[in-house]
Amino acid sequence: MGERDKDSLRPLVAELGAKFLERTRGEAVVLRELLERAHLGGPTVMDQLEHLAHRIHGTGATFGFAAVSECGAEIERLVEGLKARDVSADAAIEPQCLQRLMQCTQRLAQEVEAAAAR
Amino acid sequence: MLMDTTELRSILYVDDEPDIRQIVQLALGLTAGLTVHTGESGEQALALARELQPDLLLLDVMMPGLDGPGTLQRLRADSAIAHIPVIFMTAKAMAREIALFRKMGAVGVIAKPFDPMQLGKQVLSLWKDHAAELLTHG
Repeated sequence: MGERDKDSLRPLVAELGAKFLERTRGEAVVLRELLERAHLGGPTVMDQLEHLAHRIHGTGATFGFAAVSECGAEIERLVEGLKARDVSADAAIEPQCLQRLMQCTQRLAQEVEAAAAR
Repeated sequence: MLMDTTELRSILYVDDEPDIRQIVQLALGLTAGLTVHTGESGEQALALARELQPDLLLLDVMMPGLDGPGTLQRLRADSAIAHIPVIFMTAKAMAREIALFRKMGAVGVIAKPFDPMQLGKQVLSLWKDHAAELLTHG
């Protein structure tokens, strides 16, 4: 692989990364809306939260947005923990955990803005 | 398992995440000179593999519906595509998982997140190792 190949790939990766940040900005809003409904419990909300967080975690890391990725990872871990305890099946999320998820989502939105400004 | 050991030319990459599909297609096309086809699900992987007969299938492990391991199992049961080597891509690439995937029949595992600049080199290296293994053990 020559340096010229890498040079031609870099701007394309950067362009895709910018699009990822733009989409993640919208998804942070979706996450917050899902969490506002999450106090009702339910497997669909949990699955949607997990799917979005997993995507942000994995894709963010691939584009080199470590802080954005870590926020996604934290949300994913929290949701996985709730699912493992089967909270989603028949009970609402306890307020403490919900608050933690909200904080992570807020931090995600901030990290997206910080990454976009760089 | 039969395989063309001469040269890797075409890859089918399957991942439910569109950004990652795009980046893999660009990375492997530009840095390794490969023809990269993409699919978004395990079911589509099987259909495209039958149609395109790629040299190699690069499969994301965690996909909704038919996941990577499930796709590999179905692939091996289909005589038209059973010969196609599979490399998994996964965020869970600890030694235990890698051993498990190899046991399932994957020829290699690439950890996610990956560096787009290095991906071509990683894929070519796994392909070369697999070709050498086939030459040694048949």
